[in-house]
Amino acid sequence: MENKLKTFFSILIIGIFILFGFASIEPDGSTNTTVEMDTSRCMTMPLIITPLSFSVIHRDRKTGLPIPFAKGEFFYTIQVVTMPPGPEGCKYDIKADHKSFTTDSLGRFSETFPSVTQANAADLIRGEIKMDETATYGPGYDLLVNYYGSTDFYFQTLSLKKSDLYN
Amino acid sequence: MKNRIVVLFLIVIILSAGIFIYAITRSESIYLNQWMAELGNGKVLYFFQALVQNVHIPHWIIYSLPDALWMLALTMLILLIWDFKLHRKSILWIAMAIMVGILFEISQRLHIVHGTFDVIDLILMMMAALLPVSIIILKMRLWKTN
Repeated sequence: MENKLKTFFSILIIGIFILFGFASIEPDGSTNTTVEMDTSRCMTMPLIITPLSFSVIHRDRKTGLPIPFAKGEFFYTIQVVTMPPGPEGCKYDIKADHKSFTTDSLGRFSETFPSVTQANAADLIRGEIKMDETATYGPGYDLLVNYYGSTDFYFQTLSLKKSDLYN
Repeated sequence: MKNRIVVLFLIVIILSAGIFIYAITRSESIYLNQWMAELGNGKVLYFFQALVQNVHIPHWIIYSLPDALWMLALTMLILLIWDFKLHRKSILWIAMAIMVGILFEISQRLHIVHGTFDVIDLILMMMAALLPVSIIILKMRLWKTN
């Protein structure tokens, strides 16, 4: 192969791999459990102290019917701006935790956690639901990001029946 | 030619392993998994996720190994293009490939690219990049001594 052709292929391959790299990112800018700072939102706001709550309804992906007594986990990351906007930029402090739960006979579960203090428009909470696989159903996932002033999460998580997996 | 096909096959396996780790362990909100979810109304993705649902997978396999596999495949492809020879030009492109990997990670640290910077990612990526290069250097030395 000519050197020019090799150079061309090298550029092409590196370009394709960069695209691969970007494909492993989430649209909300989050990887693992944090969300990228949206600096355009970074501005001081009135101090609010509100409880963090989440509700989940777990449904069958195909029929829409609730799935009773399924186990799942709620992961949340509270990102609070510790440094106000300025030459140093806007910076986060992160606190993450999780809660295991089992849905009721109607496929629902709700919980409220101790208060969250927010004082910046860029403050956010990232909530993720992971429903476990059951004997009948495959796993289910859902992800939401709430900014300043919004600390309630409402998930409608779907799982596919294993018997539908092969149909 | 046969060696090239074997290496190409290995690269496909390495990349598939990385995609597989993403498919079974990461949330559906990742672009890659959103595309995977399109396949058979999510059945393909769920099938893979169900395979390892009750298996404990170490953190480094979930979050760092795919990056290392990505780097390994990229370095191997660059070496394949340059006939597995280490000279000024090929080394330049291998260095470029490694730099892309490092820059990706550093850009996450600087919040230029979405994601979370992780030193373990960086270490594994370096090891993955240097593995095929080391094999070639070792082969060259063995060839010289013989």
